[in-house]
Amino acid sequence: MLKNFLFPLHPGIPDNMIMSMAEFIRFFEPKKVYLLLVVSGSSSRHIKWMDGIEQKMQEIGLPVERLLRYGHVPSQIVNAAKSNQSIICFLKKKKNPLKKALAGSVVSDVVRMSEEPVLIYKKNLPWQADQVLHSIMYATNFKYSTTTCIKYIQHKALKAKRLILLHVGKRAPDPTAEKKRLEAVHANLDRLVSDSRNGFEAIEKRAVVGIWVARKILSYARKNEVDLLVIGKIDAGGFFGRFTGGTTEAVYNRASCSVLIIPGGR
Amino acid sequence: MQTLLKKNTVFLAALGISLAIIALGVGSPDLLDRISARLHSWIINNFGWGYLLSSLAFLVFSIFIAASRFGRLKLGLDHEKPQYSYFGWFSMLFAAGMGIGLIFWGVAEPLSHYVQPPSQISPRSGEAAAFAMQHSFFHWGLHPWAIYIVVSLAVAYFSFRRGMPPLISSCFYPLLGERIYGPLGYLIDILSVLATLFGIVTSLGLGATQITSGLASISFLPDTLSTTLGVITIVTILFMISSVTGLDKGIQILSKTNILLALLLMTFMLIVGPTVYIFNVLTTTLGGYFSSLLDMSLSSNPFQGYEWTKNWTLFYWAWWISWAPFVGLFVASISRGRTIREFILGAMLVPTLLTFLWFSVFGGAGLHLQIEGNVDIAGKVADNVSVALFQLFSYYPFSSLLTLVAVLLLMVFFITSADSATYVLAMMTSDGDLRPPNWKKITWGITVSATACILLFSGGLDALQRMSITAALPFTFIMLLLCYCLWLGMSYEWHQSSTGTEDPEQSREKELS
Repeated sequence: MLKNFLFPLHPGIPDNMIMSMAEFIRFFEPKKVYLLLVVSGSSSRHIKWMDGIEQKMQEIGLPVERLLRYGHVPSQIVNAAKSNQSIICFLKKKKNPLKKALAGSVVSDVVRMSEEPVLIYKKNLPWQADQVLHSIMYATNFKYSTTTCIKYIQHKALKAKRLILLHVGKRAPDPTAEKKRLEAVHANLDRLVSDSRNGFEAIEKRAVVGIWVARKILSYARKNEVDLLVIGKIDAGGFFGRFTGGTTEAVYNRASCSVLIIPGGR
Repeated sequence: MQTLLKKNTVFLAALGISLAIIALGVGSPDLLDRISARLHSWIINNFGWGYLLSSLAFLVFSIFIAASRFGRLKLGLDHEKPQYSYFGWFSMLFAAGMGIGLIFWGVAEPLSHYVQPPSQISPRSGEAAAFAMQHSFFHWGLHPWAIYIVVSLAVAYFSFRRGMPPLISSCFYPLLGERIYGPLGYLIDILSVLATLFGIVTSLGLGATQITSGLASISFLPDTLSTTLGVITIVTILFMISSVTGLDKGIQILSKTNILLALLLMTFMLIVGPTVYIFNVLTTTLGGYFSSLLDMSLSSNPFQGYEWTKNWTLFYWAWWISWAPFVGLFVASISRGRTIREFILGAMLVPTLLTFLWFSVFGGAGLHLQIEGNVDIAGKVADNVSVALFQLFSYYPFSSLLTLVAVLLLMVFFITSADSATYVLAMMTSDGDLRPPNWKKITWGITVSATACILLFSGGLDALQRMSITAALPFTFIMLLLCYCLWLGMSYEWHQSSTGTEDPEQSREKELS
């Protein structure tokens, strides 16, 4: 877990952003960092650019290995991550919504298809001198929290001054059921607090009622100036969800901070 | 004192607002008329399409819920059995939902459409007759019952299954949480009380004028306002007696009497009337109704005959919606123990089929007289709508007896409607108490009857009817949100049962058993 990292490279991304993310990855002391370039036709210019990135990463002490693939970009990324058991690291830049609607999004396709965690790095994380983030927020529906997500939060490299454990749930249909629901939510949050003691100066738990879960998570992250948002992958459910996307998709698309998506099946 | 005031907030606020509007109707009927006419025409002109879409949405939603996995859920705890027999339940459903209106319009509506169809159809033609019957079915068929079902299903689900008070505001718990106990919840309940009050006052006012017309045609009594006021007074005493005896005795017995009388009258007309013609009308109209249901549901006719749509279809949809809080709450209170599927199918299909039969028999007989008998019954109806049924009877044997039975039926429907309305008003203003205090029933009963009398006298009844239709606009939004809340509630419960999480209500059931 958090040992191998896969960087799918795309020529449009500035080098300094890639290196900023590489600095972040360095604190995880990775066993291997894979640089993946999926090409079609003539690619000598891109390979030359990849050489430069590889060299810079090696200079900061990352054990880099290059992968060159041909074909459907999301499938190649997913396959490479699966065969190397790596976390897929994307640098997310803002995309024109029309272009996204017409051409699709590699990130969305990879998140949908992948069974490996995906890190979407959005901006330079404000590291403290001792490699500690200001705040990490884990938005949970408790579905995979104990079995999967909490293990990532417990990782020694993932340190922050503040950990926020957020649960956004729909209100029960009556006050008695709602009281029971809230009791269960708080019991689950307490359990997560005791499981997440490692590496955090303060742990806050929040139970929020909301129908539009993604909107609540995003507004909470913005209000609390969260640096990294950790979320389990929840597939889009229901008739409309299949068209509009699920909570996870809405969160990583619209979050202003970096997002770590952890698939439930792991 | 403060607790008492808080407990009676809805009662006091609703009574205060209604008395203020009624005072305006008495003091300055012209002003109320102007305000209501302007509001009414603005709403119908601008939101007519919204009424059409919403009504169809309620029908689709009801059918979808009945067919879905939620159909198996019970309106009550899992072991509960229905409180009323099918006959008692259907009788009360029918009496509350249609009642006087069906007697009033059974003959008048098809004949009115026949004489004055939309501009693209030639009046008094075969096409106009088919159109008249089809649209009478349409206005009194599946859509009104779907509108009622949405409200009653939501109230029944949240009160009997989730243990909340049977109020419209209770259904908003998944959306508003504890705020339902604050101003927002009060506002929803006050609006429901006002819509119910104005709806029942206008309906009773119209019903009383029809009873007077009927009595005048078979007795020495003159068709005047003083006779109508006398009718209202007698009926008020009767429905107050019925109201204080409670739901189990009064309303149920009256509703069963109603249905039996209505069936008797309908069977008689079917036999002595043009039987084959009536069955042909029924069959043809059923075919036309079902094949053009979607077309009629969404047809606002912007290119032809929009005035007709505004005056009839949109008026009806707004009218049914304004009646929905009353009928919804009443139907909910008599439907405990039924499954959602049984409730929707029963409440939608049985009254609708009975209504179709009623229109085929009376509307068909009226059209037969007009088309085949060369009697201008439609012209007489156009002069005075309330005499339509009695005009029809005058061409058949035992017309005086038939008129007497019809007047009796009208009076019993009148009493049942007023009885159930005062029960619902008292329940809504007593925090959803299923056994509301008698003094509240009496207060509302007197308010309803006195208002009907005063407005008949001052001429503000039409204005009040328009006010109740005005209340339908905010109530349409409330109903759309009700569908969403109901969906949230049932999904939550289904999710709990499918994931094996214990439901608090089910644990309550275990404790009880």
